[in-house]
Amino acid sequence: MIAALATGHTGEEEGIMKNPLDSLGQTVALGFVLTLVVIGLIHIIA
Amino acid sequence: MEFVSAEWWNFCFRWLHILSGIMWIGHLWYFNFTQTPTMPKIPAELRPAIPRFIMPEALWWFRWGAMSTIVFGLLLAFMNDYLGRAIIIGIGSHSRHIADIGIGMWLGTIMWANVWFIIWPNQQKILGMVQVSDAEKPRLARVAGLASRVNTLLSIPMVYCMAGVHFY
Repeated sequence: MIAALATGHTGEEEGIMKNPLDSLGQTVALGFVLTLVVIGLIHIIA
Repeated sequence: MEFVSAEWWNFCFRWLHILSGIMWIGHLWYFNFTQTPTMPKIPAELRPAIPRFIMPEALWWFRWGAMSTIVFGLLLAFMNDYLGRAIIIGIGSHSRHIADIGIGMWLGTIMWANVWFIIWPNQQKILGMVQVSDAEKPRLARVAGLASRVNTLLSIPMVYCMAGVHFY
C-alpha cells in the first residue's frame, strides 16, 4: 500500500498483485477488520 | 453551565470539532461512495462539469473541514489536559479512555496529512490549478485515489475511537 502511494503503481498492471483498495467493498471490510485490531490494541495498552 | 465558563468553551469546541468532522468525512465518503463509482456512468459530454465545477468546490470544503477538525480536536485535548498522554496513546497511564482517544487522534492525524500533503497537491495538478503534462495525470490521479481510499479505510476505526471515547 505504501509503495502504491509513493509510486502510483500497485503491481496490478503487471498481474503481480491486486490492490484491495480498488474495491470499495473490500476497503470498508478492511476498515472493520482494522477496528477490531484497534479494539484489541486499546485493551493491550490499558 | 455559565455561558462564558471553561465548561461552555469545552462544549463549544467539541460542537465545532464534530461539525467540522462531518464536513470533512461527509465529503470523503461522497468522493468514495458516490462520485468515483458514478463517474463511468455519466455521459461523456456532461463529465467535464465534475472537475470544472464540483471538484474545486468540494475539495475546498473537504480540506478546510479536515483542518478545522484537527485544530478544534487538538484544542479540546489541550483544554482537557490529555494531549501529551494521548500522543503516546496512553502508554503507562493505564487508561483505556486515553488509549482510545490517542489512537483515534493518530488515525485522524494520518488522514489529515493524507489530505493536505498527498490528495490536495495531486488534485491541484489533475484539475489544472498547477500545470503538469497530460502524461503525468493518470499517475497523479492513481496516487490521489489510493490516498483517498486509505482515508476511507482509516475513517472506520477513527470514528469508532471518537464515538467510543465515553464507552471506555
